Amino acid sequence: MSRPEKVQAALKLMGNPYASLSLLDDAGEHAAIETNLEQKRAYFRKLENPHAFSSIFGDAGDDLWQAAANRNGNNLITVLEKELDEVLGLYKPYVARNDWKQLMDYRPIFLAQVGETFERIERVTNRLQKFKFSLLPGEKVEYNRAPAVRIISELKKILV
Amino acid sequence: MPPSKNASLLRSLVSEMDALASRVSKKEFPIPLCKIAEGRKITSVDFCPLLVDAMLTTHSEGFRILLNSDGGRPKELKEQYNSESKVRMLNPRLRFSIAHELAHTFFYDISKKPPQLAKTFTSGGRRTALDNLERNCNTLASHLLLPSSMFRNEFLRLKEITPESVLNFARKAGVSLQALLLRLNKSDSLFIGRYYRGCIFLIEQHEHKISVQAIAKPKSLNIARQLSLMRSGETWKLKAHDGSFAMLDVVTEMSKSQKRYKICVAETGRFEGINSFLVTFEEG
Repeated sequence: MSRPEKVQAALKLMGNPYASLSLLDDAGEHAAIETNLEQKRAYFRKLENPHAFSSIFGDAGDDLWQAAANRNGNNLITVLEKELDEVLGLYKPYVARNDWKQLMDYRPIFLAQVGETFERIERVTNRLQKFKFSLLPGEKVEYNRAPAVRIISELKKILV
Repeated sequence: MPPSKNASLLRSLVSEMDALASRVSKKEFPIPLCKIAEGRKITSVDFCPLLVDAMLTTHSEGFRILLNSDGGRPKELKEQYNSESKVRMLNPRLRFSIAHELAHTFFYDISKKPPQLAKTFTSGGRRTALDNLERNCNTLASHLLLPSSMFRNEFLRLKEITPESVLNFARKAGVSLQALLLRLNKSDSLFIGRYYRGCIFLIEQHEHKISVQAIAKPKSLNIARQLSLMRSGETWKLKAHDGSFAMLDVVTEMSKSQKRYKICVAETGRFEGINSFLVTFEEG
């Protein structure tokens, strides 16, 4: 069934002809938000101006949630793993050197605890997205000082 | 490097923090962290969700501080940071995190682009170099927020030591009660100066369990043994009360006994079924 046919079928079920507006708008909006986030990150790097962080990202929390929700449901576990690795990779320079192994040991535990339901995997993936931060070219996170337990405790909160 | 060199480095940095914070604040609380940050080449303080409390980055122009917005709105928090005043301050937790990151910048040579690490603590006192660095940065942060001379003057100016006066002091300085009590606990001379024979506690009550979160008490004054034995993390069991006096069955790691004290209590917070109270005990 093509996408227009699917929309027609959904409208019949909903019994509301005006629902097409929200159905069509939502799909376009999600794709636009996803593109926007990547564009924002690229723009921030290009500007090389740390002062620009807030004005570019603003209160990006809600956008991130919606963007992540647009991901393909077929590969949710792969997406979750990729997201977790991206987030951990971002924090790696900051984690105390001796503690990195502890964090890596927690990785499979975290993934196992997420569970297998579609909603839960998607919710955790979306939450993980929020913890990504952007650095400028040449900008470096200082000190390998964050204890693994601190990050693990934050990751556990995501699971709740 | 033996621990004494760590101690000497800490002493010199504490003096630097005390002097800097007094100067930029013109000896008035709260200490304007924004002004200190400018002097330390912090080009930006940004708020976003993080898996840690805060981060310090270096770049060609200096430093950037990233802070955990922890559910708050990043843009509003940034505006609040940039326009902090006596009447509108960031919450004490964020102020402490900023002060802690500012303390880290004092280990760098900021004349270099980007700033270069120039000094550090080493392992010692049964702690790793990293532990020493973090603990000492907390001490330095405390001095940035509560410079020694201002802290002393403010404490000695209090008409009386009550939960309310201590709470007002913390609010005025923009610090948490934990941070204030921790600092007071290390300032024996202030208790001696006031001849305060008592203790100040921050406690949390969850259902029937009461636990000590922070404590400040004199070390050199002859206070009741039951008070001097109390430690952070211990649990209290209240048995009964009668007016301004309470019978407190104090179970500590080292003793179990009953004694009468004058006790004043003020509620300081309520969150998800946990109530916080500031309590002063004073011998009559």
